[in-house]
Amino acid sequence: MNIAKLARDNRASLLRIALLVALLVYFSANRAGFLDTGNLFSLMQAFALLGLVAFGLSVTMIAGEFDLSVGAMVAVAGIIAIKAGGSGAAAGLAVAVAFGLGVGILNGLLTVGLGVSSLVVTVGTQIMLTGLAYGLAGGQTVSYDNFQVAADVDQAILTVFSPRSLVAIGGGLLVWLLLRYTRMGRDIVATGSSRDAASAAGARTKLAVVVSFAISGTFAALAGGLLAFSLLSAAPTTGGDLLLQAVSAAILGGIALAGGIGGMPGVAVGALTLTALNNGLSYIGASDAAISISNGLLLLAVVTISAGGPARLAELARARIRRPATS
Amino acid sequence: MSPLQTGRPALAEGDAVAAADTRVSEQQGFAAWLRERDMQTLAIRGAALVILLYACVAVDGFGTVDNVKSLLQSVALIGIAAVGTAFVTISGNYFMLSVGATTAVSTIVFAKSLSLGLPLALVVTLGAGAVGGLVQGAAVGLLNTNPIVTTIAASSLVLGVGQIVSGGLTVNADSTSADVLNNTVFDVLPVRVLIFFAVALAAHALMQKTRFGREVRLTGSNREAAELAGLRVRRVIVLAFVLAAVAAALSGALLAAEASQGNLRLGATFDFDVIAAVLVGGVLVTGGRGSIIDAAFGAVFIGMVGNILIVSGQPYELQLVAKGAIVILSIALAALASRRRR
Repeated sequence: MNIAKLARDNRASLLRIALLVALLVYFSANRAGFLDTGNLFSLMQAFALLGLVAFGLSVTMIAGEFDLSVGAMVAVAGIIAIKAGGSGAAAGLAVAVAFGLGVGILNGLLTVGLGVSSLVVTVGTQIMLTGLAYGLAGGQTVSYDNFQVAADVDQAILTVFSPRSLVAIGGGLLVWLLLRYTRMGRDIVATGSSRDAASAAGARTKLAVVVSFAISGTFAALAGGLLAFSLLSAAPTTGGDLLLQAVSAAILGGIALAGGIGGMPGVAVGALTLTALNNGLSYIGASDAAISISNGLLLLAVVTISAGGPARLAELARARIRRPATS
Repeated sequence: MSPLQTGRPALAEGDAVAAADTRVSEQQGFAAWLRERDMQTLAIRGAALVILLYACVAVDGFGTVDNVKSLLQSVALIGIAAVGTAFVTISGNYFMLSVGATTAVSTIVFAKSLSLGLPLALVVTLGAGAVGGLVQGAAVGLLNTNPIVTTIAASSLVLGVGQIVSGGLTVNADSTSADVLNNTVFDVLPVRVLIFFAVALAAHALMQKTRFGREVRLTGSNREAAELAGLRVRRVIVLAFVLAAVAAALSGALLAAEASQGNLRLGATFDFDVIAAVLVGGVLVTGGRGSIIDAAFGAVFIGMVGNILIVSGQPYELQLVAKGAIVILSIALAALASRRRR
């Protein structure tokens, strides 16, 4: 196999990696120290949150669905982990993750049971989860005095990793294995590609949707619980812009909105790109407004390109030139 | 028994049903009216009536003129935004997840431009909203992008621009020139509520009586078929987003006039409330079905439930949980109703 063919076959992946490298080069050229181990560590800490949420959301997207409730889940799971973690952090995290799993299964069951768009179901659960977050927290920031657990989840491993970021990487790896090597994984991909065909061919499409939402809920809850331990606090407003970033990471990573296409390595690169962009912008002193706008522009650009926007634009322009008088 | 024999009574039965059909539609009676409604919109209106009666009797302080006024006040802004969003939903593009951001930034634009006088401030605010809607509509309508993701991206863009305009601060406005928006007509009807009614009626007429309205509905039922049939699908989608964004901007202007300030935190819950109103009202989320008035009713229903919970001293979080539950219940109802239709 020659290199030219390999490059041609993986053009999209190469472009993704090129964008990530370009960002890293740009920021380190703009301000020294961007690629120091200290900042690489904080990049990976941000990836620990975004990556895990994006992996979970991506599974629902691959199954042809969408989980709008991940942001609210991160917030409520953080509060649950702290509230239930009075006697021990592990118990708190277990309760939070079990809650995420339960809500994920509920999202999946409602979606397949009612036969409606998961967008609507998860809008409903998102509103309820936000209400629950406010209710549990009493409208305030909940703080945690277990300093040991904060030190534990954030201790450096191999200088740039931490238990939190390793959990995110492990989560991505697990889903990658699931999608690639198990029957359930193939069912999920088939369900997203063409539900009727998959169902006719014997794929367990309903179970696949429920499993994908279960993964999404569990990952968001795990990310939220670990974040709360790291910050030693949790608030109902956490995760407000997380949905935007997770969707961006997924689409940037090659997950198709129509379902059935994309994989975890791409999402990992997408999440790293988003993390590098946001970390880099604040590292070179950009304002919150600039970060918000650049995130929005990036997502808009990616969704336009993935919808075949440029080609469509050219087509519209040609149509206009061909019949200038009529329209 | 021969097949012919079994065929006959069935035919006769069919004739009888057909005859009954014409009789009912000639009478234009209650039964015909009932049959044309969706189960869901009926259920919501029935539930609204029951809750209303219950609250008047059982909840202290609900049935007072002051409370009804404040209920309508709080519903008006959500209602205006919901009426606009209904165009996007009916056109088959789900929701605009940038409604909250548009409303929030509009409070700042209005507060900043109020020194130019009220008419000009309104023009500037609604114009800015229209530009935002145009960009989103162009992306979705012309470039075929996914509406949910596009409007999530737009929300971030809009909030970023809002932060630049406001410098991240609260913009205080001398709202004396906007006092007319906070007035009450004949001591009962707040101007804001009148605006809500006017917007809802105008939008309803636009939807029911014009070519544009029919095109919105057909685009929502089946975009490809509408395109093949020569409908102006692209223009329809762009316009639906512009209307939704302008409505959200109008809500923002009224919100700023009430608060005498512009602030990015104002209107933060609008996304939820508007989506809840549209869904609960019985607008079909996949497009094509539902009317503008349904969305307005949905807003009143959501507002009423929230108001009852406030008046009876329940905490804010219970309101959110109740709203989420109502949304899920109403989509379950819609799903059951559509299964019955099939």
